Amino acid sequence: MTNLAAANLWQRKTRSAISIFGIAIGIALLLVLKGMLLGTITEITSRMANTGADIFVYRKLTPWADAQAMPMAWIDKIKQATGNKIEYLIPIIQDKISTIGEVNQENRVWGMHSQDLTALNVSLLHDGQSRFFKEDEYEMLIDLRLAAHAKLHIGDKVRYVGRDWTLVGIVENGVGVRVYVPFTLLQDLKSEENGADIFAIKVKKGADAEQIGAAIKKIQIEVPGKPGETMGLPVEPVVTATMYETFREKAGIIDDFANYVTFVALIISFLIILLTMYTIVVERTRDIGILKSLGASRMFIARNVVTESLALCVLGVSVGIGLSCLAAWVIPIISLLNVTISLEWVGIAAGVGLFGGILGALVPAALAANKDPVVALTYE
Amino acid sequence: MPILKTIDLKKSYKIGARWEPALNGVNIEVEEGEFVSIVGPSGCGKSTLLHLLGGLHRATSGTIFFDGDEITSLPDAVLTEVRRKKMGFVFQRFNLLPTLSARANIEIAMKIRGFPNDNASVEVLRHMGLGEKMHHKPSELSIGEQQRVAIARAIVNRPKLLLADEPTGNLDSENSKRILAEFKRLNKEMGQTILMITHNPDAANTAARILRMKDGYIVER
Repeated sequence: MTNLAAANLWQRKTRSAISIFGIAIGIALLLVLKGMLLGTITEITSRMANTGADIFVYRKLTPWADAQAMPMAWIDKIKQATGNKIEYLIPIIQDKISTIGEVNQENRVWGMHSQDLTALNVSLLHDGQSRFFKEDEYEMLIDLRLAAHAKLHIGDKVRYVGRDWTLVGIVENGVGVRVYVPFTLLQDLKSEENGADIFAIKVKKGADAEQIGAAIKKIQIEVPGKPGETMGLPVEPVVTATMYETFREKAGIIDDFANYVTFVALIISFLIILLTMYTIVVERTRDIGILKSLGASRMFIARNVVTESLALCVLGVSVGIGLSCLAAWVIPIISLLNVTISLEWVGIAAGVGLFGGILGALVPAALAANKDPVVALTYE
Repeated sequence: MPILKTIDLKKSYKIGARWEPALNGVNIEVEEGEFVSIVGPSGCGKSTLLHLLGGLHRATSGTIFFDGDEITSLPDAVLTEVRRKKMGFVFQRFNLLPTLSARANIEIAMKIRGFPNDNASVEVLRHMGLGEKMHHKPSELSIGEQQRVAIARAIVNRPKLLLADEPTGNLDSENSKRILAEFKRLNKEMGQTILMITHNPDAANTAARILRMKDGYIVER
């Protein structure tokens, strides 16, 4: 049976294509922005999970602290407070590097003891050249993906914290951070004497990481400068198993920003639909008059307009999903970003796109349905 | 009872602050199976009369009876249904949907009228000598072929009344003859009731009965 909407869209291929592309851009922007946020969070949390550590303990900011580092003395307090439930506790110094090779993008750096790297599943590539760094040498490890983007090879020099560091090893992707340097050297360079930024904790089999994290927070220490007064340890233990949810909460502002941008993009897509359908209705005034002379009801005519709009939206949403999948494939190749296109957001995008299609067609559909047939038949 | 009857039918249009009369009290009767033409000069109100009879416009006053029912005061939706189920239109400008093929133009009319897709469109096009052209769009048909498609669309559902508004107005003499011959055949062989308006006396003479119109009145029967 005749599909008037399809025939009409095919008649004006260029305009249909432009409208479809306009909708697709809105949908792709929504999915890619959300996908980049999800991808980043997913990547960070999976990297942390892949270390095998169950808890990462971070320092909480306090008004009286001059340094952000957690004193190494807290390690014994933590071990005592948690009984015999900790398999290992590894101190880490955390920093950032802005430029590495050809990559001008901030990457996190972990300063660790060489013997702790294996405990956190940091493994070297079997390339015959890579090795772990020496504790007292300005030597560095980076992961495979960063090495490829930065175009760095074993033996190359990297400028960091005012020193030249030699790249001595490439490590497998997806564990911890992308850059590793010796613990003591970074500790000295950051002036974090006898302190660490992170404690990575592996609990023993059968122990509850959440309970251990809670126990750590309850450890009492004396408030500096106030003898006799105590407070809970100013730390934030983050359990790896629930890190994704924790990060999602903390990414609220970025999420809001992504939402505002995609909202604007969707408004623009909606306006494109509205303008396209309005133009179509004006252009097809005579056709509408013909349909009315054949006895088409208002509902039939309005339904045709909405069907045409929905067809544009279905195609636009499909192309948009395709574009976002393409972006999800391309972006990680050309950058260090990850894009996760979730089914949930594909469903939301499709729903928003189709709803926008119906909404954008309602006014033009009403316009079409109420046209005077005689006037419409004489329209040039 | 006649299939179509009007009593003192009037129509005026508002132009600025004034009301311009287009019909000044038209009284006509058309029996079922008749072929009637209304002839008159341009501007005498022929098209206005046709639009009122077809329910495309509302009369200012007067009454129209069609197929036993008074249709002048019917709600729009009901009037549309009457037009859909019982009337067919043929226009001077053919008024085919340009994005659809000949066959699809007929099928959409069938769809609007609630007819099943049972190849009636193919049959009626073959009957009109357009079997080879059923997949052509209007732009790919000659003007005579376009008008034949329009006629096919109008009669596919065997309407009670076929209204033709200057059906030969845009055609050359040969195509005009062919179209008028088709109307005659429909009337004689299928008993189709036809009301045709035209400004061409020769075309009007094809009909069995001629009504002359002038200045919004029927002046000669």
